[in-house]
Amino acid sequence: MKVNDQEILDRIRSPFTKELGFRQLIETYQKPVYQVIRRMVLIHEDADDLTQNTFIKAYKALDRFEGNSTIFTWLYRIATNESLTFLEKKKKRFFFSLEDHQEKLEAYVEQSPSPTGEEIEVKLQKSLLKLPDKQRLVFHLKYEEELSYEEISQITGTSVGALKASYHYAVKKIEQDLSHE
Amino acid sequence: MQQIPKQKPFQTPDNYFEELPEKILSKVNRPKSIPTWTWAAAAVVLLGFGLWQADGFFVDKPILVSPEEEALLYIESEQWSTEDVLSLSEDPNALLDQIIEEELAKSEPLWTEEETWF
Repeated sequence: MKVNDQEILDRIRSPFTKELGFRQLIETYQKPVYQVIRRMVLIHEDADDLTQNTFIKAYKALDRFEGNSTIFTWLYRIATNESLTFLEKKKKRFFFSLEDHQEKLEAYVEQSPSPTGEEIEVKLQKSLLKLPDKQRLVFHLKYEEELSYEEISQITGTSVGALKASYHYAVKKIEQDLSHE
Repeated sequence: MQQIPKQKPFQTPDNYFEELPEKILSKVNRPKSIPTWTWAAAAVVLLGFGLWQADGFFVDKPILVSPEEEALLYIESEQWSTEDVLSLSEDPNALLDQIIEEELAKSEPLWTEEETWF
């Protein structure tokens, strides 16, 4: 049975069905939330941790969810913030560690077979890694997830104009990169 | 634009999505526990304080500085490097994460209108 957002929220708000409602929320949104995180952090173990954190944070903040946005955009907002914060932490940690996370991701792309095994996908992954994290995120949300600028604006809290410019530059850089390969 | 391929969804281990809801629910239902490294840090402070106190009884020399001040002195005089300080901790990773968490909390929000995106 497919449940809609309102049914999920109603169940979560009742103390008797809160756990059932939260389980349905996870089951409904776990795949897109995991995929948007995985596109940013690439490595499954990291994406797994961040997906769990996203839902745990959502659970703790559910009482404050006012329904001004959809559950989907609200969860995506938490998930994308988790991913960007994680990548930021990894960059800061590089000062204390011998491991450069960026190099780790590049090596991961190089070694892991792409879902379709096509060379062009590996090239695209490598090209995406050269973009600033936020620009990469905008590219994923717009091009891969096919969200509207308005939805991305709600998720990121950034103006549509800034998002359009960011996406434009991302596409331009990727196209240049792929044509030079 | 046509030369940019669409990416396929990433693959996950078998049964990952079947097991994930249970993993998350067990975490939200778990009573909040104090991380082990917090206890370890508290034990180090207590031990340090104990030794400092005992020092006055067993050794006949004036106490000039507290253990915290002494540690700061080592750090400021660069006798202890960041790595030395971290190696004193039982769980340096947790300590680093906490420091970074505190730094991030003080920094600007992740999404700002003014920042350069390009």
